Amino acid sequence: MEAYIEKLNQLIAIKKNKGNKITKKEREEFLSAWGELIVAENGFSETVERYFYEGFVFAGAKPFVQWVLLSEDKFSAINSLFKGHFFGKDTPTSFRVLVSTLAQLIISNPTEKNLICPVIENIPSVSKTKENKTLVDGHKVILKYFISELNSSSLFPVLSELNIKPTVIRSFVEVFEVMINRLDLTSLSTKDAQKVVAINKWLHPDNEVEKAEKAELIVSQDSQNVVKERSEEVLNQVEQNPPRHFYNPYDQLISMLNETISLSRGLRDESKSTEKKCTVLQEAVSNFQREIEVLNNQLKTSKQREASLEKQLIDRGTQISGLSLQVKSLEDEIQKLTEVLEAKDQEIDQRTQMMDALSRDRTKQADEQMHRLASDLKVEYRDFHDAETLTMDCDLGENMREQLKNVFSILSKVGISLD
Amino acid sequence: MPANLNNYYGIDFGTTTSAVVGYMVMDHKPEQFFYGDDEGRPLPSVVAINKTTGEITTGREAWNKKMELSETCEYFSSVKSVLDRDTRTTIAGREWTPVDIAAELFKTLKTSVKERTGNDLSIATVAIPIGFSPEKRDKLRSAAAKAGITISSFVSEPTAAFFANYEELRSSPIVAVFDWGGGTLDVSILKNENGRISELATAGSNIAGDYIDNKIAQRIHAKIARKKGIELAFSDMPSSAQDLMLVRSERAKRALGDDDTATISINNYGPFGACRELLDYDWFADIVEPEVSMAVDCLKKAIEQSGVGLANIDRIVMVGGSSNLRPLIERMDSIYGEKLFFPDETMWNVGQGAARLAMTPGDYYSNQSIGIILSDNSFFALLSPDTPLTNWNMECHFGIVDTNEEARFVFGGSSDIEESPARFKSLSVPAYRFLQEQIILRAFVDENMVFKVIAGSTMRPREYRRVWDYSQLKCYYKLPEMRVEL
Repeated sequence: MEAYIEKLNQLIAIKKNKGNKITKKEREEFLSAWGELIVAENGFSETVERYFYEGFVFAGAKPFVQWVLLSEDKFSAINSLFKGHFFGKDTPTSFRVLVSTLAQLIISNPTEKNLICPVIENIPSVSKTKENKTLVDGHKVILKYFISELNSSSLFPVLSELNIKPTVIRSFVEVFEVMINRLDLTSLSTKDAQKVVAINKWLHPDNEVEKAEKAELIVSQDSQNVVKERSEEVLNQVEQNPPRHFYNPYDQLISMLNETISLSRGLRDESKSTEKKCTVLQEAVSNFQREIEVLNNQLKTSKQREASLEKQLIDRGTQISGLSLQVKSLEDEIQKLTEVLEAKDQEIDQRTQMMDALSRDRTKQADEQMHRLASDLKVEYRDFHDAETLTMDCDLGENMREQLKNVFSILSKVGISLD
Repeated sequence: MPANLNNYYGIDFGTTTSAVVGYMVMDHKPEQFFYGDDEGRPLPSVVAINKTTGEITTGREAWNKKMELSETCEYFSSVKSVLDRDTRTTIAGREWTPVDIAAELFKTLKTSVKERTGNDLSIATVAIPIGFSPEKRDKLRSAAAKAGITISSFVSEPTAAFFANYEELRSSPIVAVFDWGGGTLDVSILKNENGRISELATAGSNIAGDYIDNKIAQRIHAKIARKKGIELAFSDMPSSAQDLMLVRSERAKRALGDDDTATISINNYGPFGACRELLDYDWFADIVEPEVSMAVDCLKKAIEQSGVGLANIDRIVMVGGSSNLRPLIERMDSIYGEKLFFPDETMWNVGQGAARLAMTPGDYYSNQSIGIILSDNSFFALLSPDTPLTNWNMECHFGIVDTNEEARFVFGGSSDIEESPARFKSLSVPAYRFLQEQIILRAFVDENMVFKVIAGSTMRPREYRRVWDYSQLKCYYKLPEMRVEL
């Protein structure tokens, strides 16, 4: 999570615990964090809006107005408030935001006077409840976010010069008038009372005297009837004979001085505001630089690690190539040896076959010798066998002697020597 | 490199005896083995089949009891001579042809090889007599196949005998091979032109060793009968007595090869009882003189037929068991003297030669021309002299130039073809006479050395093809270069 988000969450949480006691430091921290957020989000996104509403108590609409004034397209920026997710959902909140925004715009006194228009136009609609009743605490909001925020040098734009329909102006004036009328003027400080007078003047530029008189009546609390009569007379005179304006050079000088002072104050405030913005932005830049530095360090470490790993990879690759060559060489050798082995096995088989054949042949030759001998003797045996039962006579005896000679002859021919 | 053990076999499928000679060659060194009967002699080519049981007896055992077995068995000898006959004999419920009987002899030879060396005789070169007909060659192939033997090639017996003794005969341009065995006498005059062996002439006879043994037995029997005063023909004697007399006669014949006298004694010669006769060599020589003269005349006749004259005969190779007959040797020696050559193993010589040719085979080449007489009377040669015949074939395409419904081929190229009747030397092939019709003629020499021509029209189906064959193809054998030191 980004640091400014964490900061915003942290501040909002503290605010909830501490209530509404906001320190100056906390206010500045909120402004800084919210400023970083809106820059990071590149505009008034839903997240930015949410933190704006949730942290409204820290600085009201000040950060928003600061961002609007720094934006290139200020009108789009101011309008983003009304297009937001939260605007209009809760009437009192929306009213509070608009009143604060109006105050901040008046304080800022932007060149584009019409920036204030959409704020004024929307105030009447958020000043009433769903039942079309004026907000009960509206006057308190006016006091807190408008009157208190204004300073003595604040310059109110002339309502009639704004690009707003008169009817809308009237609605706005009515709302403000009702709200201000509900204020207990006696409880106000002198400054705030003077501001109320100035506001009334702003709301009713054409009834300054009348209003001033009314205010005087309220303050003096003289006999009501006498005052009433006198007032009525005055009013009648005013109606019948409009007041005359006499040329007073001091008045003009004072007026010019006041205007100059007001402008100086506006410039001073604007300068302060710009300074704060610069501070916010410098802090943001500083944060970015720190992040960039951290990221650069990380990148450097990663590159070093990558280089190291690449080197290891190359080394391993070289080792693998070498081992692959060895494996291939060994495989070839194994293949050759296997082939040699197979050839040798085959040769052994063939030589065994040859030996077996020769051995068998010798055995067979011996057997054949025996068979030949048996075959030769068989004839003699058969002849002898045929004569076994015959009566012996000279011829048979001579034959047998002849056969015996044959037998000995056969035996001597096969190597059986009897001598 | 392995030792590369190879086996080569040559078979001498003789009329009287048969033998296998084998060479086991390892490291280019051949070991020679003789495969015959149990006594180490060539196997007698006789088969006896019991008339009742169908039991088969072959070889030496059948030969020794020839007469005895004749009473209980159908006795077959000289089966090679009758191989091409279409005879059928039913014995113990089984029909036997000459091929079946010859197959039994091949089986016995195959068994002999197995028992002796443990090897399987599956392919062999077989020696056959000169003039052994294509039909007989075909039958012999069938008989061998029945025994599980493939005949890789045939070689003539004289050529095999010549090649078996090639070392001694290679410088002799004209050689006579005198092969006198038990059943036949085969004489061949061979011409050797640097290993090109051609037969110049042949002669032969069916009078051989068995005939001589029988003649001696009958002569002795006659002497005994005269001495004993009992008139009884030899053929009427008990078969066992006949067998005994034949065996004694054969032994006496062999004994007289070395000695001047031999005694034949039989203790119980039928009604004659104990008999004994002393034979002297002169008597024996007189007895066999007609056969010896016949054999000598046969050789002379062959020499005359060859046209080379006696003076040009370089060597006379004496092979076969009967070539050792003493009266023959004396006569031949007086006529041919030093020209006579007696190989060491006369009984195995033909088989040896066949085995050697199996080991380093040569090839047959045509020794004549065969072709077609074309319509303009010119000669178109299909087969020319000196053409190697192994896998030879030729294809020609002919067109038809007349309006006949058949293409008629007339063959010529040698006098015997040209002089034969027209029906034997011509081949008619059905045709359509279409313009683009062709007659395809394919000529080849089959494995039995028969020249064949198959001809047919390109526009007719196979059944209209016609075949002409010529079985008297004259050829010569070209001996191989000796690659194995023998």
